[in-house]
Amino acid sequence: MRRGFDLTLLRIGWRNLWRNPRRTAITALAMALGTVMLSFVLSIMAGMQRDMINQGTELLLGHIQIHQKDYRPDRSIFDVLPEDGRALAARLLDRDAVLGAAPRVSAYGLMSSGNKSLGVEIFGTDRGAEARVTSLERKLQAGHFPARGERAVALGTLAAATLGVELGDEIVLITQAADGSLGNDLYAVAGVFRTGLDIVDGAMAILDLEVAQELLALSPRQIHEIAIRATSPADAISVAESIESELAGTGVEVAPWQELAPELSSWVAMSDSWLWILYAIVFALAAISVLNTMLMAVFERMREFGVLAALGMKPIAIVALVVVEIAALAVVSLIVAIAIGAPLLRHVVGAGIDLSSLTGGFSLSGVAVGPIIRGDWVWRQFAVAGLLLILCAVVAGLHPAARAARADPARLTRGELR
Amino acid sequence: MSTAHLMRMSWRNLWRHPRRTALTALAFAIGVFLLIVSLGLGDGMHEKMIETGVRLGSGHVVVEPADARKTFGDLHYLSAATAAAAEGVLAQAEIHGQVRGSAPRLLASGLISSASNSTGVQIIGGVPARERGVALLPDRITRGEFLAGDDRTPPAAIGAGLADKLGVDIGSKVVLMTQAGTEIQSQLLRVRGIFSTGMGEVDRRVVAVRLEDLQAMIQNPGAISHLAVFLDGSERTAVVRDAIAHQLGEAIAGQAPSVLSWRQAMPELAQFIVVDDAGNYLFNGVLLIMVSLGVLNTILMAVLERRREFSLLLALGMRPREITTMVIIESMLLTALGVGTGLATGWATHRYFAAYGLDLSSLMDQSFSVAGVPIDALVYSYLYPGRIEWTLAFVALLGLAASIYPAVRAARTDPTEATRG
Amino acid sequence: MSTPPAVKTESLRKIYGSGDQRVAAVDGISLEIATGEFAAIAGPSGSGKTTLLNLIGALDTPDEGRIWVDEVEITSLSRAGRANLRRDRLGFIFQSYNLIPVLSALENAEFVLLLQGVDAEDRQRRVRAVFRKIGLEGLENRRPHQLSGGQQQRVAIARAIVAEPALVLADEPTANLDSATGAALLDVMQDLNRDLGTTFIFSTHDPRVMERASRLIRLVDGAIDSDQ
Repeated sequence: MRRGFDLTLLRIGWRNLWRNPRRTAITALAMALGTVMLSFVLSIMAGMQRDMINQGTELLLGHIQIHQKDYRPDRSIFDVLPEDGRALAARLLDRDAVLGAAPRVSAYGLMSSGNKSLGVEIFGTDRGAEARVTSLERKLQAGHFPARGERAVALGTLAAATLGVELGDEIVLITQAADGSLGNDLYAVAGVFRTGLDIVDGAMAILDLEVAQELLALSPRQIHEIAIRATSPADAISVAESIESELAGTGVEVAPWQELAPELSSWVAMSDSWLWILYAIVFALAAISVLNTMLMAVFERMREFGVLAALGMKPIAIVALVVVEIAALAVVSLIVAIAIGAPLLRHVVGAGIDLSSLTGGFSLSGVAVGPIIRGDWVWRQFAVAGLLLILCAVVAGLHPAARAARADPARLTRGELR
Repeated sequence: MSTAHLMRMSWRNLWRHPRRTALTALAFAIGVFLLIVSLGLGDGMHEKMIETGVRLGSGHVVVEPADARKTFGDLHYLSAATAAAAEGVLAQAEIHGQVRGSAPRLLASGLISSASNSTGVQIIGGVPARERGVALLPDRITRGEFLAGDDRTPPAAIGAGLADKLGVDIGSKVVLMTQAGTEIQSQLLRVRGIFSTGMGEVDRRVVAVRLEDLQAMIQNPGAISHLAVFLDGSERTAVVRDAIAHQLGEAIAGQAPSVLSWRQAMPELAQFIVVDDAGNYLFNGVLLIMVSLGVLNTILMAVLERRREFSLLLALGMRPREITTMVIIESMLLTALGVGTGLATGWATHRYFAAYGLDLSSLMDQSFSVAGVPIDALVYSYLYPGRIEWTLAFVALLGLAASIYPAVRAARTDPTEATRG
Repeated sequence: MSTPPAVKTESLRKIYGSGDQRVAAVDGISLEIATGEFAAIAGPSGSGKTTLLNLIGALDTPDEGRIWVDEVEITSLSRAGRANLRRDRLGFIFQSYNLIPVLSALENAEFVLLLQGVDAEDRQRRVRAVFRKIGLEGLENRRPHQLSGGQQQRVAIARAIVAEPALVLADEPTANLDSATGAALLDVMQDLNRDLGTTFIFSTHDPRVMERASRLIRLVDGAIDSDQ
């Protein structure tokens, strides 16, 4: 008997919704609009986060870096890893979670050609290992990265333009070496790359690892940092912790990208807080919409509720009836939202939003964004938004539902209920 | 029937269902309130970004060599004649109050070293007296002074991050190396000031020295990379830029220098502001449409309930057109009610935040930067001229649009309904 | 007849429905009602009396036939023309929903004058005079929901006659009133008919109204059954 009653309740609630189809449709549309916009923003922000993190870590940083514990932030050339860096890198590759491990040395120096000079950050890298960790080599426009032992340099398009050099020309690199002397030497320009980031294209020089070590008066075992590629950016923290526990006590620091580029992770945290404000606003407006509509609907039908009460329906059941109607309204809104939102989101996640007519892209905390902004399918967040909408509608509808339950059957016969 | 009488009826009709009217108006009020507050905070943040950006960079307007932007780096200089002419024009402008100040700079890159470390830096040579009051670095000195000192050793100001890296403090000596012609020149400097801008890039890589000292180092006295011009607020930028460009063009024979506004000098920043604004409008626009649908619903309900009344009015000889007008007025009054409340509260909130600022540091990280400009967590609300007017126009349009369907329905009522049982 | 008739109709026909379901609510009615008559159109429900009233009152248009009100052929008028006619020459009293809820009694009564563009002073004067005449003094500022059924109908009468129309059309004005109030209302209307000479046409099935009518037109199935 109970089951039958519940089903009837559902059926009545659903049909009541359609007694005034226009009003239902307009309210559902309003709530759907809010939900679609919410989903749109959720998707875009998730997409931007994903792209920023990928970009931020993929180009140069890697997911994890290992240094001697005093190396950061000063990056003194004297603070080399305590053990043979290249051997360590090779060992780390044995782990399943480590997809690449690239040993590097780095220093600041002056690069000059003729009477022009430029301050640059010099990186000595192992070409093979580096390719498995970062994507810089793929940004080459001409030439190649220095091969093992080759006395050559790869630099960015802006640096090349500033110095007025091309492939095959020679440049001089001057830097402070580890033995206190001023290291300087002549190198051929082997490759030119373009990343779109001014600081990289204009102030970075890539050398072969051994050649750089020679320039800096370092031994082949002396390495400043190992950049590691893990299975995904999200795994960085756990993989870093596991590596750190293995290397504990050896005087090294294992830092995931969240530590290395805090601006990136703080951007993620920041955008999450803004989302809560967004949720609050959209749901407040949706609640008002539902409240208004249901109040109208309930007051129109007070006489009916009086009849139901007269027939013996308990107040709680009347409340349930109204709540069912509201939940159905919310569900209808979600369906409309999906109908509008699905094609929109498919476009946003696939082709993305092309802002190139407005901007060529800008940087957020040093990471390039745009001009095409792509969203992400954040199913869990969509589901949460949908459930919250239903919840919010039901809560807003409790007041009208309570009013309906207070319909006094005695007033019916006196003609006081309309 | 006069509009005044129609308005009277419309107004009274709204209050037949006070709760319904109040709820609908409340929703509209919230929408408008949000729009104004978010516009205010957005404009305020943008204006601050522009100010920080121009003070950190090359001013609201910059006079630089014509092909300076083609390369990264600082190897083009204004000719002496051009520089002199530009200084003349700017001095005049300052006298006339159009310009707050200007500063000539020489830019170079080099290597700085201390006893314990060395690193590559960007060197800015400026005239301390002219930098103070307009540029950002003098304001951000946390220890010592900005390029003051009467020591024989030329002064330098470095960022806190650089000071840490080099292991130096006020009074320490450092060596600066840069290229002069084909040679490398080095110069001993004394750290006289340490600044902190909050931007890692600036605090770790920038060294400020006196213009004359840098000119001596590169063995090019009189070399100037650009003249940075500072205004009071960004709104008159285009006008001032055009004026300077015009006057300079007349004063100089031969190739004129580039005169760029900050929008041209920092396109990334300008573009970011455009995109951010667009996003803001989009968001609030959708919210207001949501709210207008509520108005549509309310007015439609009101119209459908009053069919008998409308047929009565028609029977009495009222024109359908007048009924349409009456319903539209009703919708506009409802809109005005909401908008008025939202506008009043929004404006009050804006004024409050304009005076005291809104501290967003719980939502924002302190080292956040956009388009190369650090973001201050304390935002002072600001509204560009025209914002309120456009807002009002937009919501009026929405209120009107929401009323069209119900108004047309009302006018099409059949007068014979009055006599129906 | 020396004066022209207040209302004249010729072969009036109005059909509702479509296809197989067509029904002639008014089927070939020709009649003349003289000025100053206190006439009643009576009949059972479905007889077409309401339709006929709607047609005479220019609330509806016939499918066939012509109507003249005060010598104006209303069937050839445009919609705007019909609206003007209703405003200037006709007065209406309905069975219920007569008054505009948001306006006071005074404002309701002066409504038609307002539509006509009469200035405020004139309106006030004329309405108050009528209120005195039919015993509504003191109730000027009350809203309809603050008036009894009988008082509401009197305000409707006031509105109907204050503009001095040629013709007042009343659709079952006493249907919702108890016998005493209804009788009082009819007294008022009969007095006005005698004093002002305004033509009254009722559509009714109330025998009390039919008693008082000087002319009784009975309708059956859309056609005149008897007329005296």
